[in-house]
Amino acid sequence: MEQELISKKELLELTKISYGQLYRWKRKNLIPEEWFIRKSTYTGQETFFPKERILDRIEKIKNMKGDVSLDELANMLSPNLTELVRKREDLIKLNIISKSTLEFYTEERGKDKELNFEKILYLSILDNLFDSGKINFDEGKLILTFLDEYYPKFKGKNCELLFLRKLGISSCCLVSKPNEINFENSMKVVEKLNISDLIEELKIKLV
Amino acid sequence: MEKNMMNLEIKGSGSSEGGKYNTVVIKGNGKIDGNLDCNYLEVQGHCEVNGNVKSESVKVNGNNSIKGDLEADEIEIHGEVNVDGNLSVEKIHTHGMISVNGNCNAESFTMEGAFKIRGLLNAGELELKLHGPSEAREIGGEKIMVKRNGRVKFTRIRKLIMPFGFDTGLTTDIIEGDEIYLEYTNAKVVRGNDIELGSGCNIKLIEYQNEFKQHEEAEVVTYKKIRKT
Repeated sequence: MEQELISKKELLELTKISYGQLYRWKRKNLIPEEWFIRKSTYTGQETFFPKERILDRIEKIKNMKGDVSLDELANMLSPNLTELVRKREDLIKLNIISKSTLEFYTEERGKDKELNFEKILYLSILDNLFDSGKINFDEGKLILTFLDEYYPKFKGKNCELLFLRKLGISSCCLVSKPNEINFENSMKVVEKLNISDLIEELKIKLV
Repeated sequence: MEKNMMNLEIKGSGSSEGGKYNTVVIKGNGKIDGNLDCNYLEVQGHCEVNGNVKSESVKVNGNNSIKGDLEADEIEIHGEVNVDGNLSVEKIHTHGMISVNGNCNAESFTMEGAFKIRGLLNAGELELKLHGPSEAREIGGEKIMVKRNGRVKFTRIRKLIMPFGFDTGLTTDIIEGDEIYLEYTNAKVVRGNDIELGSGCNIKLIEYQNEFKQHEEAEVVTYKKIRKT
């Protein structure tokens, strides 16, 4: 999982923000601690960031800064699940979850009128996987039960959902980040979903 | 916070298991084994907490050592505070000594005395008046001001007693901020928009964007202007 890094200096030049702003956003937890990667260089210790993610994040902060306060923004960007409830129809209307996924969920879990954020998150995970054609409905069931049981333990943490297949048998697991995980060669990682990123996207769409 | 919470008061010597309180007042010697969550914490004397402290307002006259994290809106210290974990606060004012083993986050940090921070000192406004040797691994923020010793009178006498210098400055690897004023600071790198160095500075590399001023007694190995793109 090698990722391209960008030094702090390059980042500031590229995004035209000042040191003060960067430190302020860090204090407000708009930029997660684990993105600050310290490395030794000839001038001593320097800080680097995962390039794609930090650029994306700074773009987001800059775009939204006018509309909401920094604290609200931090709330939006943190992996904590918000206390938010949405009606079924709204989810389809807002184009967050497809109709077929919602029907699948109704079959499995019955017809609640309103869904809380956690459920919406599960649904959007399923939606993602169904949409890419990587899993079938049976496997969807597997993931749904799995998430129901184990996701609450990871609540608020940075984590990734892995969907695996070996010799036609499928399975899934949750891995907290940052962490490295290796499988033997015949195990195929069908899909890797970063849940924190997904939560972020969802929050922006829902708010 | 909920109302009808209990108050904890230790006068003389005593210990508690911690918990959730409205106000916690310790006069004398107190020991708390566990996490403390309260609206107001006041220590007059000595207090040792084996856990995290979360309080809206903290006032210490004396000595307070915390084995976990300290989180508060407002902190006022006259004396000494040791935090083993991280310190995060909106506004902190210290007269005396503060040491933090982890990182320190503050919107406003004013201090007269000395400090030792193992991690990053991240503050919106930082105003340090040093009375003794201080150190931090990194300092970052918007406005950073480091001055030595408010009472100038004594420096001459001190020079008579210790003519080869008495290391009362600040030592750090990196200082980064928008507006920076430094005195008696040893740093490897200082980066910022406007940088001004007073006497007694020793800095290996300066990178500035707008303006750079230097006192004749400040020592700088290299400095360069970074173009605004």
